[in-house]
Amino acid sequence: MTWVHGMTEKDGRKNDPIAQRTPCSGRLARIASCRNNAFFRSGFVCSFFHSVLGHRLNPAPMRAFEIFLVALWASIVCSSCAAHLTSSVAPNVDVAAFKTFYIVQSDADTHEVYKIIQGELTRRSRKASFGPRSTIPNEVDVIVTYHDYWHWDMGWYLVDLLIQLRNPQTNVLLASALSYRSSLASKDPVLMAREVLDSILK
Amino acid sequence: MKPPVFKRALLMAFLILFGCTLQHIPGEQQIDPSRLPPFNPIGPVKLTNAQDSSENVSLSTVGLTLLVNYRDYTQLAIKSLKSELEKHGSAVLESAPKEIRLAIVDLKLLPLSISHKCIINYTVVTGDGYVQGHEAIGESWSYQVAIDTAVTNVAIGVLNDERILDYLEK
Repeated sequence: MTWVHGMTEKDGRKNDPIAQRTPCSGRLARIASCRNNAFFRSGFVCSFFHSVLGHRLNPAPMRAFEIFLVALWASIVCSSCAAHLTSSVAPNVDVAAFKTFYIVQSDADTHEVYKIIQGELTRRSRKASFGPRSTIPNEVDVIVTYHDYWHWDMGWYLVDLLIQLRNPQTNVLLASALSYRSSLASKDPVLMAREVLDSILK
Repeated sequence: MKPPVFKRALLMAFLILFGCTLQHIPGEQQIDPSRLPPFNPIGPVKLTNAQDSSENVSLSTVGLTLLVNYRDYTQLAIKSLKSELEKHGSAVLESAPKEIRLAIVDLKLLPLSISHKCIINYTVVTGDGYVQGHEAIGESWSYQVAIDTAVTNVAIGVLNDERILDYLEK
């Protein structure tokens, strides 16, 4: 049987001084010693093999793998509740001066996000309307474009919401903000739109 | 004395938990000719990087903070643009009477389920006073490829703007 790097199981154990001292038996233990994986012999990994699989492994003082597993678990938990909000406004742009907004409906929008944005702008006493790009009224101060990305996890939730303010004549970007919220940190889309607009119109 | 594997595990744990800051220097991608309309530019053109700021912009995304440099990214898009204009028989010269000014003004990286979407906003200004904002998008499982694709799409976007093509063909 050939193992990693062309080393046979027997050679691996013979070449591994730690494995020679280890009174473990069974296939898993041989794999551990053959691959010279010290972590297989550390604390709870050994306990796991001993209690669940019946393999007896010597707990070594080295706890590197345990620390790695804990960090991995923590990173999975942390990334599940990750959230960040970034915003930027172009120099010399006074976003507070914008009173009339036109929201360009995204072709990919299947959750009527444009209505949520309109509601949030109206809540801030701004006049907001929406429609396709081809019917932008002449009198608007700024047009609003957005990208929304949804994910399913026991129900649809909004993962990313990017809102952009643009010059209605030139389409040049004036301000933008992005909110990212993963599954455990997800919020109601209305609240996400609110935090995004708050970061632009503060 | 702690064994080296212990130190490595601690370092790995630290990176996993707290993430890290990386700077992405975009690579040039080849432009697929089928994505460009037929055009015949007349005379030489001057391409100007209109992004004045050369500061690195910090961009937070899941697990890492990315430093992006809009000026460098604009320069790469200009390089792609120059290459395409030269393929179409137009010389790119500093002293040319026609000018295209390009500036990448915003870059956002959206983490999706198993991929990244990079959205770049840029402004293009021609010598005859035409000003237009555009958006270029790149998507890939790798954030680096997503950014590189979006930067390449900036050059493609410029050459798909009919008003700019009219200016080049004058």
